[in-house]
Amino acid sequence: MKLNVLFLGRCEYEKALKIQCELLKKRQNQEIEDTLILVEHTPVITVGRRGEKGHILKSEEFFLKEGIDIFQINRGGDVTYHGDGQIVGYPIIHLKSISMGIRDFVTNLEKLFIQLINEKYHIVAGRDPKHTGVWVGEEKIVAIGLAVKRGVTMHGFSFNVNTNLDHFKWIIPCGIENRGVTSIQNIIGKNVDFHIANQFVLNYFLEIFHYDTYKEVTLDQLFLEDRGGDI
Amino acid sequence: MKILEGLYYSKEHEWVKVEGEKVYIGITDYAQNALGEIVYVEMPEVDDEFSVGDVFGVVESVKAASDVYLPVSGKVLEINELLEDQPQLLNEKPYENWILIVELSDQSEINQLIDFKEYEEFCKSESH
Repeated sequence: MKLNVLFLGRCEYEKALKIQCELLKKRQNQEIEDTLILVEHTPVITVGRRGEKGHILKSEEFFLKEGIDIFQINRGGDVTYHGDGQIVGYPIIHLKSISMGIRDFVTNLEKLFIQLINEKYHIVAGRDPKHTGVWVGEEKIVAIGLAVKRGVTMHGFSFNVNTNLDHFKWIIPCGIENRGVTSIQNIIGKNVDFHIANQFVLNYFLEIFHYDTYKEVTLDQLFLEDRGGDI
Repeated sequence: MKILEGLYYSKEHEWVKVEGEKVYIGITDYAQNALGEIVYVEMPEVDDEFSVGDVFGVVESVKAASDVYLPVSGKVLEINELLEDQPQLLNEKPYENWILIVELSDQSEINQLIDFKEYEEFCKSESH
């Protein structure tokens, strides 16, 4: 089984969302294979289905002045922040292709990061029985919020590598009060190589979900795959 | 996993109970188990009309927000307002808590659904 990987680099949320929606449709129609989008967003706040505006702590004027967009979207969960130094992943995966329900899929995403963070950065991370995501002590390091549409996943995870954690003070992340957020940088006390961290995420993703190979694809290629399947 | 006799099922893991032209629609035990703890159910409005296969709502668990599909065409007669405050009822008693009641617009669509035996086989093939 093969996984397509699309590296979008640093990219605005809105543009990435459009790409997700297009690829979701294509995956639903079996025009492309399972695809993982990896991206670093410019600073943005997104609000999930259960999101409450009260969990955004600054005024609209503040965000306007800072040039930060706020998006209300259809993923699970509450309010979150994306920005520089954070690896965001959008798995456009047909759950049937990996023979998994959504609950197992999310549990495996958690497992992926628990292992990665432990094995590559020697940090002990774990689950919280009540709150989805991956935690180091009382602080969240990976947020997870997915949507499933006609059996295909969209939205995904965000992994704080070198994220500016001050930006999380703009919100109550995931609507959970009294719990903080953290990053790899924050824990080990220095910036880590972002490119290598992306490779780690990809490698662990392949392993956990049993893909034999992957292919790095460009947007053009995905949109040309329409007719012929494999290029 | 519980599957009830006498109900119809869809391959999207919804159950359908037919009472004349009125059908009750909910999600199966298999579905609630696959979703995990359900925290929010988004439902359509009464009088909304849908075609077979349309998305009629969203069931959100702590894990993800999943679309749900109408297994038959028709008009919404009633939604289960209990679910607004107690979405976990879908986990606890999935066959007793319908999500909506629809007035069937095409009786023959019922024949497209599968019975409990076929559904049981289908679930086995899904979770190999």
